[in-house]
Amino acid sequence: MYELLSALQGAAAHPAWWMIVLAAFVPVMVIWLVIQGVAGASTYVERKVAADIQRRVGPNQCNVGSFFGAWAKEVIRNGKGAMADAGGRFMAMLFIPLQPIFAMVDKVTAKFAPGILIFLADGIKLIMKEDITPKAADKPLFKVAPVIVLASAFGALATLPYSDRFYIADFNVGLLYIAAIASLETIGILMAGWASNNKWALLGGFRSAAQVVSYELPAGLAILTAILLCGTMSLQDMTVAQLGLGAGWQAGWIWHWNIFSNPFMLILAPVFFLAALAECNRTPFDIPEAESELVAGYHTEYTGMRFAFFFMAEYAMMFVVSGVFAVIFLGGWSTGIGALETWDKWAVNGDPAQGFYWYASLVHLLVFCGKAYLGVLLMMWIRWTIPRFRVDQMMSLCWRKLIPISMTCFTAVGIWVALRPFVVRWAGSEAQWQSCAGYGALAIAVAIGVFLVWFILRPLTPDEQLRRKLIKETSIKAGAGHGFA
Amino acid sequence: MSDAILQANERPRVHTEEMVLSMGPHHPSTHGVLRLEVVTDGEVVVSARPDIGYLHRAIEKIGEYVDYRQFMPYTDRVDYICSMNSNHAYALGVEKLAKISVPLRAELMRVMVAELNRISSHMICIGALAMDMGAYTPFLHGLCHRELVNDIFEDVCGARLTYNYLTIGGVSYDAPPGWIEKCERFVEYLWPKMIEFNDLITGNTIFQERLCRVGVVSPEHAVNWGLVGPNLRGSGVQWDVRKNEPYSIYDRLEFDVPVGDGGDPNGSNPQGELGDSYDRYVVRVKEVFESLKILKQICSMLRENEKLPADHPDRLYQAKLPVRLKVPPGECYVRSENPRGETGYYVISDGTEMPLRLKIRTGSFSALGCFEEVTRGLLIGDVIAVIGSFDIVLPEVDR
Amino acid sequence: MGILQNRFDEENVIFTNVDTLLNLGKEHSLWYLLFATACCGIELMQWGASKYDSDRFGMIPRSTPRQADLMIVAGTITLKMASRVKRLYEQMPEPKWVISMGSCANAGGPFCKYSYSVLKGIDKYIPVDVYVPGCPPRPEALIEGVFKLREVIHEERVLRKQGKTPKPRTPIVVEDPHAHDPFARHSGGAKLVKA
Repeated sequence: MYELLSALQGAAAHPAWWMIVLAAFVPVMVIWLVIQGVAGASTYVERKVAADIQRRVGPNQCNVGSFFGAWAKEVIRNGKGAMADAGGRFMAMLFIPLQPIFAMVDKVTAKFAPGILIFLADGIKLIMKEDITPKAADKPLFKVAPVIVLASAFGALATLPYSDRFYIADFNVGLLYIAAIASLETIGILMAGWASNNKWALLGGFRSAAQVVSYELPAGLAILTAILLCGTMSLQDMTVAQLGLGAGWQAGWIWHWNIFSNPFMLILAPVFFLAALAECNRTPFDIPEAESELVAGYHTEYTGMRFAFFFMAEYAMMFVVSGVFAVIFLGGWSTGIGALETWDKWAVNGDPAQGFYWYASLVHLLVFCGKAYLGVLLMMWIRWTIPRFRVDQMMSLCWRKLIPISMTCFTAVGIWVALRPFVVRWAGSEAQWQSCAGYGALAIAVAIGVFLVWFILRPLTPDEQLRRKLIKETSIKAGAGHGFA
Repeated sequence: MSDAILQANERPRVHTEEMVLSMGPHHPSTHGVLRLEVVTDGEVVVSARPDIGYLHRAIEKIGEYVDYRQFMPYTDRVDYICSMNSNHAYALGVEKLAKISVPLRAELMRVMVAELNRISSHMICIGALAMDMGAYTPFLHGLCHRELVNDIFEDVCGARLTYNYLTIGGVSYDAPPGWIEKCERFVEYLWPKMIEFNDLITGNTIFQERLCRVGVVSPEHAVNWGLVGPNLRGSGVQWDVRKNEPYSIYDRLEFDVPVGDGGDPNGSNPQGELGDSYDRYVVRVKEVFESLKILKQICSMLRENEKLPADHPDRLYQAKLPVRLKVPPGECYVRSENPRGETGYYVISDGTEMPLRLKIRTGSFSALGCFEEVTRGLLIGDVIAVIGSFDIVLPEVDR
Repeated sequence: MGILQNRFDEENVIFTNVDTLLNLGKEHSLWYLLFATACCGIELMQWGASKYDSDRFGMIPRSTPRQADLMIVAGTITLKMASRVKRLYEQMPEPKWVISMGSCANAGGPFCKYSYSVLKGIDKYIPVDVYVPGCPPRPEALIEGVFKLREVIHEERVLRKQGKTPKPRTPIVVEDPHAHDPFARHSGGAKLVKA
């Protein structure tokens, strides 16, 4: 961001004061919008995903028409009423042209995203709720805890490499920074649990501290392995490293992504994903806020906007960890199609190292957000499917299974990286080795593809046929499950 | 695992303090208004003492003020999740005391609705247990199947929850046209659906780990504490009133009595222990299948019954009784098998229209009796599991 | 909202319009307290579950009163429980509403006459906005009750001053036309009766 502004200003020795203000202000606003967008969209998507899994419809009443449309109707009616003053009539005049626009938007959204404005309604309501601080609470801590939790998500969102051109900050210790600031969330949660003067909240806070401290280790080891493999901590550089530049025709293809680079990374990816689930307190690790055990866990005593801060932080954190997953395993903003990435209408001179054209950057932005949001969707799917662990099981899973696995993978990748020069020398040159490895990866990919095709087209056993029939009959669209039609 | 933690805590390395947690009466998973006074040492439960009476509605006392027929709606409210079974138990008691014989068709309808209600009750129990374990979806799937039972009941008696369908000497209404087909379709529907339900949650590793070896009740203890129904059978004791002391027409029906075996249905769960929470859960799941078997038989028996001429005594759905029902003096105790175990009605009559004394014995109350013993040394999350697996319904406890 | 609440002229149309927007937000996001004591609790569950799906109206259950807007008193309230209900109500943040669900919560229901331990109507302890009769009410009746409550919320004044003589809250009763007709299937024809 700062670089972009400097370029705007030209080659002045010192940046003007408005430059500094803009450079500080604009990124903050951008992250705030990202948080709002991610949290708002995620609450809606989460409710729809849950509804789909549970044979429900989900929110469908709060549409553009029934929210803004109804509002416009009332405003116009009030403006025409006998009591109307000048301001009221002016407002009604403003809304008369808006009314058909609302109706038009409503037609589209009500069809493809019914109930889309539910997050707006929730937001309006939460802002208006009374702000209760319990009398016996530790007031300063109670008030600052949600801010800390949100700030950690806020800070972590800033370093994500959204695209090759559009990103807010990229510094050379990016991953270290993310690991550090994301664990700040725990301090906020612990503060909230302690300051609420509520035993359920206290238990939730303690559980959260124990959980996140434990699961930092496998997550940290996974991040460390990626750093070892790519030789950089900057998220932007790590993404570029996964383009596999200098490999001739193979540059930019999907098998340069870290997850496919060696078998240990393939094992490490689910380990990191589990640890990420635990770090953002999602099922099956939603132990700190376990609804059926600890009423609402660490945010039991929080009302209105303070609760909304926790809420937003949770969804923002899901996006952050999924984004980090996308960067360290799935090639960040890379599309994974080498022919596209090295096309001379796409990258400057057909060389990604020299940068991309603006439309390519936009596509990269979409690709990154899509990859990150896939992770979020996976988390939602898991949440609405499986039960949660008990405290001791959660700890034993971490210390007895995940940490040894990630430690082994870390060591193995270390050896892999150390042996690499010898392998390259044996293959002849870097390009030849890349080509060799590329063909291997291609063979494996083709094998997986053939297996998938077989899996989809295989003849079904009677049992499976019954199940298919069942799924078909009981889907919402068939109307079953709500009575014998 | 939790035992190991307890032992580790018993060795005083660090000075720790006990904390008293008041769980309930408003808590998401105490299944109503149960209050537990949980003394914890960290996460480990030192003792969990149930505090009941938040739903004491004096139903037994009301029985002394209303006549025999008027009391029937109150039996709905004694255990609202399985109203039909409660009705059945009470009707059996009064009929035994007044020596009323019930026509065959009425018996068939009674067993039909009782087994349907057993299914819908178990749906809530197993779904709520899954919800307590953090999986919300199985609960909603269970309620979704339950809606179909509600539809069937609505067709036959007009109510969705508190039916007041059984009367003394029979049932209130005959089956409407097309009702038996509807029941048959329900059986066809639910069988594969229960298999799907098992895929969703019963075989889940986390679910098994949460429930196995938690809240273990050995067979001897189960008998000594007076556990009944699925809680008793979960401990491996083969006792079902429907089999051992058949009432109504249960002696003509073929069904098995599932008991806990310390493992899961596929035998792939070596970590279980006889009488743990998972066993109690599995017994309920298996009972749903047994009830479906019974429903199939009853449907064919009802079809046979409909072939009889319309004025045949077996076609009646009610015995002819006087409007003012007077019961000869005496006392009797009957028991029937409810979803929550053996429910007993003890009725004393002094020859008037109203009972002199009416005492109800319910399964949830005896399950709460051993609660403190069973949960000692478990974790807080396990206490929730034990409540759910005992399938405690509070109006049954408080009455 | 403390500094802005009830500060502005009640006749001002602009603030009327702003209030309408805020009320639209409130009525589309009524989070209810997961609180059930007796029989009606099962119907409450069915109302929130797949077939009736309260989430359609943006209503989701919250287990802590601090985050709930609406308390649905579902079931019999005994004398022992009444003080707890009041405490739960007091723990909820403003603005908050109460729906009394079922005959027991309305007036003691079938336990009104002979029972010595049942509270005869929760409105003796906490203010009730909408009464839904039935023993237990059908989920459709509860949906109707929620819609009546939404009508109440839509007329509320947030930024504008309350009128000089505030209108007394008229209790709203949802009438189930088929409550006494055992064979009538459900239909959405509930009528509004202003008491």
